[in-house]
Amino acid sequence: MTEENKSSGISRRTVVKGIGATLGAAAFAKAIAPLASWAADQSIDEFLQKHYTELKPEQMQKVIKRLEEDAKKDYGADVQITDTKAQLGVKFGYALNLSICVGCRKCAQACHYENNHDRASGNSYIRVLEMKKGSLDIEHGKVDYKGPVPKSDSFYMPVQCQQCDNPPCVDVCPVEATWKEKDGIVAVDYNWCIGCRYCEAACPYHARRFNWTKPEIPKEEINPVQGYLSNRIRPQGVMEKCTFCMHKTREGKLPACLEACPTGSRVFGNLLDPESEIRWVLENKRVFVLKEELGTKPSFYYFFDE
Amino acid sequence: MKASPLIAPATIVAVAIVFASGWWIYQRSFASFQEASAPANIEVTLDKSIRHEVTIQGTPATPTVLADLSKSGRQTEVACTTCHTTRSPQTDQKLPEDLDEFHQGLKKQHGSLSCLSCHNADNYDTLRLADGSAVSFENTMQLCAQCHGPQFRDYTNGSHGGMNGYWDLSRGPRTRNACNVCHDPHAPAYPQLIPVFPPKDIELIKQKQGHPH
Repeated sequence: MTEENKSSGISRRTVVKGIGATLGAAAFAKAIAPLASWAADQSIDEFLQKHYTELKPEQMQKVIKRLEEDAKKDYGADVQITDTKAQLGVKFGYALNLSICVGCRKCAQACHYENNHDRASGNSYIRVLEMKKGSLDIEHGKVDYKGPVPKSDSFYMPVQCQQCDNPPCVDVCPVEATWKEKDGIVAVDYNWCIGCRYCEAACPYHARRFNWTKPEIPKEEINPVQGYLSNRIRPQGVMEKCTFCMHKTREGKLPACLEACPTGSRVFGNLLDPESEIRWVLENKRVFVLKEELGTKPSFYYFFDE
Repeated sequence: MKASPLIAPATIVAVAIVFASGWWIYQRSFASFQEASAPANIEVTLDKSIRHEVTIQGTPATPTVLADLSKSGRQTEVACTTCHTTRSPQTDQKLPEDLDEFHQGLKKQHGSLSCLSCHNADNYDTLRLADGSAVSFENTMQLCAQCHGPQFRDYTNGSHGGMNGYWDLSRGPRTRNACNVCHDPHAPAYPQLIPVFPPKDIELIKQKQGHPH
């Protein structure tokens, strides 16, 4: 035996090792192949980017520059991304008058265009529920009602992110990719989110959306006025949500859904300003919040006229 | 049985661990409740010195009607007073259907009001308030407010009627709609409309499959 092995030069053991190593290497190469294609889509800078709250201003400028270049490369659009911070002494509040909402869904449409949503999926942060008068069972609210509206036996309830003061979505996020800003907005760092969708499950208002695909928007329809935490074009595989149009409202402007509302059933403003319209509504109307018993403490109020 | 000298420090450490973990769990779970319900002592630093304007758009101009006065078949725009100064008001005619000529196609669905409830018989280029004083067409909202007090109150407090522009008037102006932009004065009920933007989202798919949630 020993003589034979010596004569062939390669032992049986070496051959088996060789085969094993080759198969192992092949399997490893196959296993990491998706990583290679993923790395091609993502730059080193993007991979190493810090959490929003840890980015220094000059780092943020670099990130914004990169995102603007990406938008140009991927969509051919010239966009301006800003990162306006929360204004001191401002806490945003929203109220909606159910007595005059006619259910026209123009708010949902305005949201779709303002926030650069994927055109094919028709995504919007606002869902309008049609319910029979005398009931308030939002779990059975009809979403795909057809016109003409308003029907005499129904009322209409647009539901979007309630910007809770005790947000369950923030509590469940395993990576702190979503948090509460000083002006009350629950924000998402789209570059930090891992897309686990825990927050979507945790939200009792169905206010969070997942980017199943890379959003497709024609170049000329892209809204170039973008905010880092709000309506910039989101990557595939991350969560997104209503930000009360942070890119507009932090500049003092009204949110897009309010401007689109033909009846004026939406009231927006600063809860800390006693002279504001929203405060007048809270002090003079019969106001309620959705699912109060859950203790989420929404900043979004509904009211009826007398 | 002799107590081990380690029992006392061990008990202290165990109690400390229980308290610390209890505090940690409380902080993780319930502190946000307390934080949220605590009164916010945030100093309001808004600059209120500058107030941009709120413009009301869409107020009606003094109206005209198309009329063929020359019998030539060519209609011209004429002011209300062109005809109405030469005719005396027919106070018994309260509906457009009662009229023999002019304004016949007009649809009036506004309670039991008659023409002269709002129009001024002394000067048809103006309107008339309930106290008899004239008011220009540009200030129609004063007229509407006489009966629709709650709506006018809501409007003046920013919770009725569409608007555009800035919530923060110290940073920019705002535009608001006049009553007549949405409400036809002769038939003011807001019309029914076909909703835009049919939803395609996942909640809808669930509904279609027969289990709402």
